[in-house]
Amino acid sequence: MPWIEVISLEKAKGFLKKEYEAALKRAGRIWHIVSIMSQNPRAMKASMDFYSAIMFGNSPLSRSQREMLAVVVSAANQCLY
Amino acid sequence: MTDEAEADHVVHLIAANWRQAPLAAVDRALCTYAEKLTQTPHQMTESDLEALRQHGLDDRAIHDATQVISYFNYINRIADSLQVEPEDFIRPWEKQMPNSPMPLRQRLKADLLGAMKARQNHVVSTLRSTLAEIDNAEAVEVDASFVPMAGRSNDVPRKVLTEAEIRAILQSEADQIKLALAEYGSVGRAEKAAELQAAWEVLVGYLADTEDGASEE
Repeated sequence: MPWIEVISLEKAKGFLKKEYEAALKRAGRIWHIVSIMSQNPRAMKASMDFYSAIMFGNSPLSRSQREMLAVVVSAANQCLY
Repeated sequence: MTDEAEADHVVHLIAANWRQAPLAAVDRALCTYAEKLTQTPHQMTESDLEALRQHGLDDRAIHDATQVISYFNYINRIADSLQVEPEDFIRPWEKQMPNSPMPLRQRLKADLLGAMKARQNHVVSTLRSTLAEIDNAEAVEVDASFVPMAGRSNDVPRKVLTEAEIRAILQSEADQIKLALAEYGSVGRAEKAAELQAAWEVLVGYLADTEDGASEE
């Protein structure tokens, strides 16, 4: 269980509810790393938009190179995410 | 391979150990940069960027790499400090019931179908050849005068392999691939080596999963 409260989809309202629904539509699920930010939905959205921009936006780096960097960093941090 | 499939493929190689993965020089440079920026950010120098430029990476590429590396450091810290639990990832070729493990052979077949649908070509070819090996091992030996027919007759009762025997086949396939991998790696056939590495990882995935259950047979 996370160490801070995560607002569930059922209890979400307003901006958070909209963001959760967008996440479901986009990814088919609400990733735990997204819902952990439910206390501040604006930060959640900004964080996800940033992620999309750097991981999926135009770049001289290929998608696989970007995924490679993600894995190297997470491995170095010994983090499963 | 599509860009997505390629990305997925690379992830599995890197997760094991990027230093041993058959990577292009530019990717090696990027990994080196990512690791240093992650572990000793205060030691970064301009020469670290120079190492990237030598492989043809421009300012935009360096910027983007730095953002990706920094983003994952940020998100790792969110995950660690607030206790974000990773999703129960189930890769399509690892589907199994938690309480009653599917027999290996059945799993290989189910995963082959899944991999075909997902167009994971290297998984498809690895599973196909492994299932063919199992088929061969199950065929009852016949004398030299036997003329093989197209399509095997079902009249002859086939040997039924135990889980341990199927496991042994997987192991020997994996060992053979590892040997071939060493050869290709040493002659610089990076692309072929990457294919073999992927095939090897598919097989050892099953071996790791079935370690506990192997003695139940």
